[in-house]
Amino acid sequence: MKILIADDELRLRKVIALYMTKCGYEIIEAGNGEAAVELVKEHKPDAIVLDVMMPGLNGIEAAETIRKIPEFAATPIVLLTANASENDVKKGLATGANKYITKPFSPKELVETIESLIK
Amino acid sequence: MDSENLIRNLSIVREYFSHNMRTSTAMVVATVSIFKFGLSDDTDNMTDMIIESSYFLDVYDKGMEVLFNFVLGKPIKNEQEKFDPVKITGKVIEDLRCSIQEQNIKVSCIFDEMSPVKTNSYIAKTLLELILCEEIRKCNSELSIHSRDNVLTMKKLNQTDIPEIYQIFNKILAEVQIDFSYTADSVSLRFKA
Repeated sequence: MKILIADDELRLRKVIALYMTKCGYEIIEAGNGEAAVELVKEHKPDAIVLDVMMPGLNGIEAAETIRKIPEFAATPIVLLTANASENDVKKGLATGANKYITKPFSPKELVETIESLIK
Repeated sequence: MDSENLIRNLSIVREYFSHNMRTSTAMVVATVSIFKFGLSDDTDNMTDMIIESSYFLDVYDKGMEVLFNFVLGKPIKNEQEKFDPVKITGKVIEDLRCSIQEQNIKVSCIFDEMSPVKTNSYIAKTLLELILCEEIRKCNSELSIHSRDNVLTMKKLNQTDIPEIYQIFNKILAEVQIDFSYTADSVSLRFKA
């Protein structure tokens, strides 16, 4: 199972990637929204995890761009955010993202969320 | 400050610190999960990451106090204490060596002797630490830091979005006689001798 993780916080991305690799997933990493969109096209992941606050194309914009590609119209997208306001939640889900997880979160919670969406 | 500006500045400060403190906490939680499930043998590196995240949290907590006090109009004391920006810079680089290593950043420092700086050292130190943390976090290749004629400059090889919070840093630093200027790839702090 292939998962794309996009987060500009390299240390956090690496730790989540390590956790998920140990759980048996193949991880593709992106450091920003533009790279995430390109890597989605290239690797066709089974699920996509996008941090909302990234420089350039942010997670919400990246989710919108990915959703417009017919091939990925139904690919599970989980948004990660450090800002938990109600407005952010609404904005995130309006992009077509399936779930919204607020930082701090446990990697276990992220894995469970992805598994529930892939099933 | 009119109420519209006050609300806007409070929102910038809240979003900046909320984002950074939640991200640092997420880092601790994720690393502890790695330990809990025995997923890595690299305990030294994992421990350093947790220690470094707690350092970030400390910097953001102190920064949040300074920023909220300023935005809410609390006067800044006109203290004239000795302040050594070079020493603080060296300490931050040492404290963030794990991030610097993980991000593959090549940091080069050239420090010319500075004339003694006197200012509100708590405010100056807090803001300098925040700026250094921000510039290091946003750097992805090389960061050169140098001081000349009482100007401390940090220049990244890559360009990044300028954080909105720098506008507020600028106003606070002006109150303690430090000129702060910034572009997409560099920041400078001019200290009054």
